[in-house]
Amino acid sequence: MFNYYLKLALISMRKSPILVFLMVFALAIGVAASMTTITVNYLSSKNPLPHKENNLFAVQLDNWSIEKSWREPDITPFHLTYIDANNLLSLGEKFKHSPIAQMDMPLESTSIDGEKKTFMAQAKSVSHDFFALFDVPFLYGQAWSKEDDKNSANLVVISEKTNNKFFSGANSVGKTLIYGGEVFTIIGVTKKRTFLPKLYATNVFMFAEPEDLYFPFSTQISLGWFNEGKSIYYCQKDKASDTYESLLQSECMWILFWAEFKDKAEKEQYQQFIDNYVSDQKALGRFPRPLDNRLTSIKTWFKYQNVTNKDTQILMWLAILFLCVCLFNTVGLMLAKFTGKSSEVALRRALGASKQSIFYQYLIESLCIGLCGGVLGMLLTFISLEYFKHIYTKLNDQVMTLNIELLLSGLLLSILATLIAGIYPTIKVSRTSACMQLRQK
Amino acid sequence: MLKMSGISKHFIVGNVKTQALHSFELEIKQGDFVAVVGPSGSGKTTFLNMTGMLEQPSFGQYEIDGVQVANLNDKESSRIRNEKIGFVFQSFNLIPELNVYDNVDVPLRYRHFSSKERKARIENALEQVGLAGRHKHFPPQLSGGQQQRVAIARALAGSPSIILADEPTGNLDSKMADGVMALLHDINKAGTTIVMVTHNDEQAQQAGRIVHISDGYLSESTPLQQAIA
Repeated sequence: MFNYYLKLALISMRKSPILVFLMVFALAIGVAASMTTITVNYLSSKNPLPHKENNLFAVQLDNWSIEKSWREPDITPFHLTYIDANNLLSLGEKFKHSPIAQMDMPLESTSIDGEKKTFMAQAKSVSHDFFALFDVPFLYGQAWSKEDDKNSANLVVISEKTNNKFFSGANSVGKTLIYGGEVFTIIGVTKKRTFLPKLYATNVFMFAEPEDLYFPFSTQISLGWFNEGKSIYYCQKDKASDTYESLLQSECMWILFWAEFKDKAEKEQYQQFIDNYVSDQKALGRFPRPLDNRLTSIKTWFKYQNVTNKDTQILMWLAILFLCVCLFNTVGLMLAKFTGKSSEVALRRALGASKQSIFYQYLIESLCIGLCGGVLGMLLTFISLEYFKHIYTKLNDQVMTLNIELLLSGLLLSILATLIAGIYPTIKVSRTSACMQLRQK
Repeated sequence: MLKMSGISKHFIVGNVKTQALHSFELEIKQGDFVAVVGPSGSGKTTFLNMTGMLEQPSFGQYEIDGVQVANLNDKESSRIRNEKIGFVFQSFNLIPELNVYDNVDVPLRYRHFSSKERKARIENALEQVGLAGRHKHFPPQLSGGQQQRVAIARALAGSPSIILADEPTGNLDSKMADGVMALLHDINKAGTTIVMVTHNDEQAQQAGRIVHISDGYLSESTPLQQAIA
């Protein structure tokens, strides 16, 4: 009977194309508005490393003033001071962890031939563990070693995009580039991937474009680099002077720190390690606040960073509300369409169709309308996401891209919405009295 | 085959009770041709609705082929209506978006026949009404008489034991009406019971039995020809 009902649905839809178009369009607009906001909301709050949910943690030490907490309500600083980052690295060699700092310097080719391709390259200075922590895939080469970290080697891992730009996609391992006026040897090339939101950043920077290159944190320190104008940093006390050494010895916090643990036991061991470390530092007159060292999960990190910020959520709920309005319109249009069918329904009832048969017939018609609305809705979602890419240029394009999961969700949402919209008109039409047919003269 | 005992029907609208049909007894045997006559508003349509199980009687017992059908649920009454009763309406009531073949197919679809069985029944029914070559035509492409023949084919296709015809020639000119009446008589001769509501005395006189309905009361008379014989 399904095929028969489907055939009847298509015939019925062809009979009143304007009414069907209005229903499909109302649904499509509602679905598109909802799916656009749901896509942005969902993709911007999705953990890019779900398999590391219980293994990967941000290290937060509460090195703020005694008077008040760093951020209300009770959030400890996201960044560490250089003293603490450096101490954790040297004292916790057995652990897998990495400091992460931001650098923006001009990157240029060492070749004197060809056109000059200098550009301001965004970089992260990290330790060798960073690549394993965040599952960074390699196209060529690999990460630098622990020894390279210790030796503050001038090594660099460049992105596929950078590699394409300077080396036309060829294997560039062993070749050199000039970054910030220093010559760096390329040791690896990362493969392009979707990694959003970037865990190892804060706030809107979690949606910034991928880095152009990575180099050792120790190298940044040995070169005396600090991105003062562009780095996020918080100082509970003023630096003693403006020298680089003074920055390193200050209580200014500018380095993010992430750690990965094999299991719960190792996590507990690390918690003990940082608690012991902070207790030792307290004895030296640092860390005035009560002991509050945190290993923050990815989920909590997202919450701290307002990844699912209230504005986006409000927008999403408004869009869902709009979908409801569209649904009410569809209910009205469907009622009008199905009421127009009451004489045919009465005839079918007289010829032996049960209420259930009529219900299924019109339910399938509703589903067909829903499917059309869904397909058009997803098309409109795609167009609106493309449009938003041009408006929200600060956000990474990938946040506004439909994947299969979202595409199917959109279709499902549309069908579900139509089912909800269609259920009342369908029940109503299936209750049409058959005897009215005989009364019609 | 069809037995109504103590059947009555009333409608209540607000506080007003309207007695559409007063208690009556009626038995129709297999192969009968019954004409139902009476003035407008006398209760003919209510009678036909109850006979076709489209309305439940307020009181009384109704049997079709020995099965009590007065208080069946929707699914069961739909099944019996589909299997045992065929309808022919004054205004044909064909579905304009479906072609002749698909219109005749409608009651068969609810019977869950195989497509082969349905095809055979549709072709046979259309041949019986003389429209074998009109499968692909749509109702608006046919004359009134042809449309009524399609409606009769639709009623016949399921091989019902009874055909209920509500003024089947009411919308036809006399020539077409004669053709339709001849067809109904042929079907009746083949053994199918026919209950036909009509305003036409001449047609009523051609029936085997005449049921008069007046102000909700049923009475029966013998057609003139039979009375003389």
